[in-house]
Amino acid sequence: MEVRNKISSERFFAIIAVAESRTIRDPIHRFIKLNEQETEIIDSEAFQRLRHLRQLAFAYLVYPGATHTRFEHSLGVCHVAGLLARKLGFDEDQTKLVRLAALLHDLGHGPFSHVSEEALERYSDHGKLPPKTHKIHELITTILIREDPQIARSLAQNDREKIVNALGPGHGEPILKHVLSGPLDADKQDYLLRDSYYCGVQYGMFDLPQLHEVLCNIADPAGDRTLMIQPDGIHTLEQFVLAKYYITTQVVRHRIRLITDQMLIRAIILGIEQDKIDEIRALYAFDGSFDFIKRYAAWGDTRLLQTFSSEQFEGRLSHFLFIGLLRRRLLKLVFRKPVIQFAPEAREALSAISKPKNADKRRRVEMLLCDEIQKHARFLTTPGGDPSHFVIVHGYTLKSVKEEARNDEASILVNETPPILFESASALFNSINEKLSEAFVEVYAPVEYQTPAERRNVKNKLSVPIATILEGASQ
Amino acid sequence: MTINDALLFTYDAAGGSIQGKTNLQKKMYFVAVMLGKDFGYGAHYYGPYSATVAAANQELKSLGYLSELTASAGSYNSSGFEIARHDFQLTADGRAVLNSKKARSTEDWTRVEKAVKRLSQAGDLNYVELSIAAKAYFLLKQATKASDSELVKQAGKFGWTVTEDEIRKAVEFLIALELAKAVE
Repeated sequence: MEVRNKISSERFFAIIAVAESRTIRDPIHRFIKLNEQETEIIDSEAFQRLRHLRQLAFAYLVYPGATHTRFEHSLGVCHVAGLLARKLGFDEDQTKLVRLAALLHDLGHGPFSHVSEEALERYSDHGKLPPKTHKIHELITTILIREDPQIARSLAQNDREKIVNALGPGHGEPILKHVLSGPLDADKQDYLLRDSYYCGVQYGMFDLPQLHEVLCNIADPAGDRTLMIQPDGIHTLEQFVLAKYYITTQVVRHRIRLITDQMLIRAIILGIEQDKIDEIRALYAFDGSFDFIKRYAAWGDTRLLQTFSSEQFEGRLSHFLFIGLLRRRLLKLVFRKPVIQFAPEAREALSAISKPKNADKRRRVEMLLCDEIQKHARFLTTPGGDPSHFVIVHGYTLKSVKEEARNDEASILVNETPPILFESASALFNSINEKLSEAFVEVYAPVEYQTPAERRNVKNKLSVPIATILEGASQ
Repeated sequence: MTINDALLFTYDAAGGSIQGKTNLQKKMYFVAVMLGKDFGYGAHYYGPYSATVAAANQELKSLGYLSELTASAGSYNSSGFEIARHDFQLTADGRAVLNSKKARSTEDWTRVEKAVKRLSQAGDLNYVELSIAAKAYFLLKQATKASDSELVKQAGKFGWTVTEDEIRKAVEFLIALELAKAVE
């Protein structure tokens, strides 16, 4: 009895383990363990909708396996952020914060992700939005984290604000930012492996455990902590940066992917401006309100494509492109040239030709191009009697492989005394010409070829006249 | 005036080249302030920063108007600044485009030239000092009125580590630039 009394008056202590309330099988990381709070969040409607947004938009038209979604990617980023937190010695609060922020980082994406971003930029009511420091999907992510009732039930207001701040473009603890949005962030570490796996390619492969092995958390003399790599990790990092370069050039910027993205953007523009389809305008006319976000969140990739390629919209200009995407009946690349091969005065205008502010000029150029292309190639039958709506001129830039080793503000440092830049420490990267960052201009058209020889012949015939039209129109 | 125009004009007014990304960011910050332009600056790890300016600079490089040289700065300072330096220089093609822009927009060019001149006349600051001055201006703009010690405290809230001496020198620079004044 005495013993029992003694025991009952004693206080017992134990380590509080992170509640691992769900373990999810994942082809990349094998097991992803989520605690109760994270599980509650993934069960929210706002998070579940990520199952309906493919990570790589129309890349599945090139790589049939690439149908993975932002849902599993977000789980993967949360997992990698947790691994990084452990490796870098984060405390419990920091670990919780980076895992949650990683889990929620893609919450605001719309159908076909980056295509939606361009449409949102074009049709949002910018007067009602805060000053432009965010991409619009990031602003939507912020609003969802702050205002979604289910997420609010799982996260205290203070935690929501910390997550918003950690994900935002602004200031904060550098080491946390490195994990969430630096050149070595958890997002890239997951998507390179995941995209490679689902595309069935090896371009994005790198040694994740070895990369983590060579990362370190270093304090500078002022006490700020920063992410660096150990000197013996140079080759591991070279592999990672090359993986990012290859996945960008071979998957994200694949020729067909560029065409499909431009087709979808054009379909949305035609749907709003020519076909006057209210549902499409409503989807992209963001006014900063939570009511808008509720409507926006109801749309996923398949719903968008199925709805506007349905019989209800047959005969509309946008329908031609939506159904083309659904049936993989794509516009063809008829012209491609590096912008740097045009006269210096023409380059800036050509590079910016796809921007909304140049819509009138772009339209005039596309009408001229259409006339020229029709002289040499067979057009598909298009609705509306004016095929120039389906001729697309597109300017874009590819980063150099060296630029893949850094983002806008941060470079990767090697933990030497004093620390040196990875690009300088790597013999491989040091030898790469920085100038290999290129801008291109391409033209797509609704043409058809019977044979590869016909395709080559048409492209050859069009090369000079198209370049002349583009250069003339850009002056 | 587009952001590309402002950048090309700034390069020209600065002698055709700018050493270091931080230097470029902070120079453009003050040019934007003096021109009354919003080039998308917000608070980042190392002071006011604009992704728009970074992207425009990148674009000018892709168009062949700027060349970039990466050189090791060889030091690691207490504020976590760039260790390697990215130097940017106008190319011959960039100069040709710049000259036609200057002819077309003489007024804009003159305004940028004056702003860059004011910057160099206000003090020969290195990029670290220029960055602290940018932080000080950013904080002052938010507070309207603040003492040296209050600015140091405010800087801490943004995760920026600065000393009172550094802030004092930065404020002197802002006063010389006529962007700040001593008040009661």
